[in-house]
Amino acid sequence: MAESLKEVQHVCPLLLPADTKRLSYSGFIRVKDKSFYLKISLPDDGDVHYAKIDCDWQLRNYLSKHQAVLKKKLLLARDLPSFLIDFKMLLNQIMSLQAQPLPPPNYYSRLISEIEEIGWNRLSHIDTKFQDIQITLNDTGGRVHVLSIHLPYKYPIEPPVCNAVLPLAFQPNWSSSTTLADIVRQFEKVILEYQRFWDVLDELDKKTWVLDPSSPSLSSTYRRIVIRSHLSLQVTIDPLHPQLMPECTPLGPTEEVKVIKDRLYSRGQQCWNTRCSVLENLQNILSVNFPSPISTKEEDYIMECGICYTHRHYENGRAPDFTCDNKQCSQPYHVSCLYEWLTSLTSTRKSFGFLFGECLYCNEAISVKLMVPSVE
Amino acid sequence: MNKARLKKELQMLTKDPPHGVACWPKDDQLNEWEATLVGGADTPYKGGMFKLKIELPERYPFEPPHILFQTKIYHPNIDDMGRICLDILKMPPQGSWKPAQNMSSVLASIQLLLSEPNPDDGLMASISKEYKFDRLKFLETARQWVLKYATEDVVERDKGKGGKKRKAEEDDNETSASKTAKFDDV
Repeated sequence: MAESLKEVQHVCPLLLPADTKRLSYSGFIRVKDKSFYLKISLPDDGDVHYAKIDCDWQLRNYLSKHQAVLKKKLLLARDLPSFLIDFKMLLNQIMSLQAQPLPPPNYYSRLISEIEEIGWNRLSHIDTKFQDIQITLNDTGGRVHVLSIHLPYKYPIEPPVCNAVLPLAFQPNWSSSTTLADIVRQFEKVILEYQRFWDVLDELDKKTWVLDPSSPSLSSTYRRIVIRSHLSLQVTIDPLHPQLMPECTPLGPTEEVKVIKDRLYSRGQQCWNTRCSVLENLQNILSVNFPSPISTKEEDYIMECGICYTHRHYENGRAPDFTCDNKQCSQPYHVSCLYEWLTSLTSTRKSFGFLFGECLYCNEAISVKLMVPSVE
Repeated sequence: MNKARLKKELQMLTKDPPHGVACWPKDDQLNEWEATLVGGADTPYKGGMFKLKIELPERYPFEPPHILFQTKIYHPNIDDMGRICLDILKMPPQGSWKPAQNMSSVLASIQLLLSEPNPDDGLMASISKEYKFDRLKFLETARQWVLKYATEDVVERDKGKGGKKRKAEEDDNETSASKTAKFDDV
């Protein structure tokens, strides 16, 4: 018992035993430079799990919402000193949580008038703390955009944090005189600038079979489109200059990829006509007609990986991005599946950053680039 | 474990199962399956029903499935414990498993192994020897084992339904069957 008293005094020096049996303590507990009056009564057998705690109104105020946690801590406590340590930690947490000041009243009045300026009909979401708001906008192409704005408590001294689904991050200009309506206007301007970029991608989505991404967001800048079965072209459009020639990566059997690459390099820059659409330009340069979703069936181009038997990879959701070079075989694979298989074989050779193995279906030699995280 | 592939394989097995093979997940678990093989008509295992236990490792299809015969079978490449000596059930370089194989093709290969044992790669030395040098005796014993362990009656008895009466019946069956078997050989 003497030990226990010493420990109690160590944790709370101002908490003293109030009776000779040391079943009742009263005094002060000190947290964050504040002292609170506290009385702890233990049952006759001294079991700390059933201790009764009385406290002053300030402490009660802090603890009112956390009684369940407190009870749990009491039940889990080994003895009184360890409970007191826990109790102090809990109190510390609660106090620092409540220490966050509420914004001044003019924060709210300013926010209301600013939303009024934007228009309440455009406000699609606001949280209970009036800190996170979402503004919905429609653009000329019928696309819907959502601008999320997070307001710090010190707004407007601190700038709001804006978030939107755009190909490049939205960073509005901010000065202390800027209002939310100004930010929305800046956002509208940015959206307007991206219209041509989205029009290009929409045309690809509408007129070609897109393998990747499976459900493109407004921020994605690439499309992997089908040229014919087993051969596709990944097109990455520059959001700022959508009419220029995009970055193109053909994917498929090596020989066919070479033909496409040759055409891209030899005719690409000279024949690119900025007055035609990107799709027309690509068809012109590659002298191919991309199969259209209107006249062909999706099944014709949905390729299954020879290892996981699925079209979309179960982790990264990508379509198969490797094809066996043997023309009779042309088995599609996910690079990641093939990589996992080759690395689990002892016969796989590794050199110059490539893994060398065999196609699982026709035994043709194949090579896969070593993946970055596994390079030793 | 890649669930998408397993689902696809189950679809394949339901839609287009190999001849004489049935396969299903045990208690709707994805990593433990069961299968039955029906002995081929041109084999000594004719009329037999063989139960198989299939365990799919966590890394499947990058590792082969573990398959065991639950029903006793007299075969050069299958041992007392039901282990199967088949190259596609082992990882390279010893075996030739690859993810291009699937449950359907593996079960079809086991079915083929029943009709064409491989005594040169035998798991059971004595049976392999018998298969090579005394084919008649091998066929005879294989047939008897089918009647003893792999007919549907026996399978049901194993479930705990059987009594003494059934046992007697079965003995009867066995003698008569072995007579017909002998007759076949002649």
